[in-house]
Amino acid sequence: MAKKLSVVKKSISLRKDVFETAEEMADKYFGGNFSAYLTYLVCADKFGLTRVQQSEEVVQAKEEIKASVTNFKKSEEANSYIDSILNI
Amino acid sequence: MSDIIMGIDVGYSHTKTVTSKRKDIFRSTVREGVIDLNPHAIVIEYEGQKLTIGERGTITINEDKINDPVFEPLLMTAILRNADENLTNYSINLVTGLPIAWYPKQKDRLKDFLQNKHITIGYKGKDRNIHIKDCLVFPQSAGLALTSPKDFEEGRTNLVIDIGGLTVDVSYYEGRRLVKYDSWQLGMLKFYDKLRTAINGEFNVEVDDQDVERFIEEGKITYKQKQYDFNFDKYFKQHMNDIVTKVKTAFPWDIVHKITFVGGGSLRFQDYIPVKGGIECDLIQSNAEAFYNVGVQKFG
Repeated sequence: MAKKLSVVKKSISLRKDVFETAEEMADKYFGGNFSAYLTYLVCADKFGLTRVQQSEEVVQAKEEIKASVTNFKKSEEANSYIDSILNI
Repeated sequence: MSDIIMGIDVGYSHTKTVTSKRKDIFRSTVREGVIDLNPHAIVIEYEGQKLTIGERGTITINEDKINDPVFEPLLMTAILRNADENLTNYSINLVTGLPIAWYPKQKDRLKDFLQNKHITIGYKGKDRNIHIKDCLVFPQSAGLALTSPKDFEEGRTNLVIDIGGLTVDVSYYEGRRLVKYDSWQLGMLKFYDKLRTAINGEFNVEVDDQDVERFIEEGKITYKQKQYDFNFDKYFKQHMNDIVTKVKTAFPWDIVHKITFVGGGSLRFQDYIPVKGGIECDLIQSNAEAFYNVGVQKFG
């Protein structure tokens, strides 16, 4: 049988209007289970399973940010920029 | 033992770390002794003394990092939290930073202070030997050109405003050339101080920065077990206005291609930032990410 992952309990603070929207979504799509809705949002953010409609430009920009941070590639251009800053 | 590249931004409010495996953040506070009540507190043994890191404790606003007594414990904690805890010997290639206006004067001293440093710190029941094999010091707010190179192509102009714990660092670029920079002490600790004074005066209490943060999150002041309204909005607007006025008098504002607010303070002030359309980035970790990328370029 698969090992059950442990669950962490935390208190969170939300702005009232944000909470009301989240509660409405949790009621509508997750049978009122607020934790399940938050889990969905976090997973959507992490794995990209979002239902939020985003323009291609936004998706592209986000991919570029992810790539530049996690897959920074060494280059002559980056090297000369770093050197110019280090020599201020 | 392989060398680990780490980008560590020891901020006056929070310490941020980026490695190839993770991003990490904890509050930049140091307190002597151990808080027994909190089993999750970070405890290190530094120079024979037990220190609790990241809980309520001392925040310093010393402009000289080398002589700031909390700087080294925070830096070593950042290293230990992000290294393999099964090991006891670490060899680190470190990139860390300074506010951009202090950078030219302090960078060499800070580099000399850290480079080839050997130190033993007690952490999680074992003595850990840290060797900072190589070190570079990079200015805060200068990293966006690395993470978003397209926005810094020739012919593009950028104004980057980094609202940090103590300082607001501003840098202006033409292409990839850093043309002008400045730092002002208008960061979050200064903002919290204004709020603290106002709250203490109105409610006749003694609150600290961490209480102020909590009140902002709740949108109310808790006093004698009741919650009261407080005009946070007025103070947010005033402080943002102070920052923008300073920047506008010293830098091009209306004629730049992009104005980007970064730093943890920008997240807190996001509803009050007067311009939209800045470069998208991780507001809190942008400096540590840039430092890490500098490390990959130079040590990788």
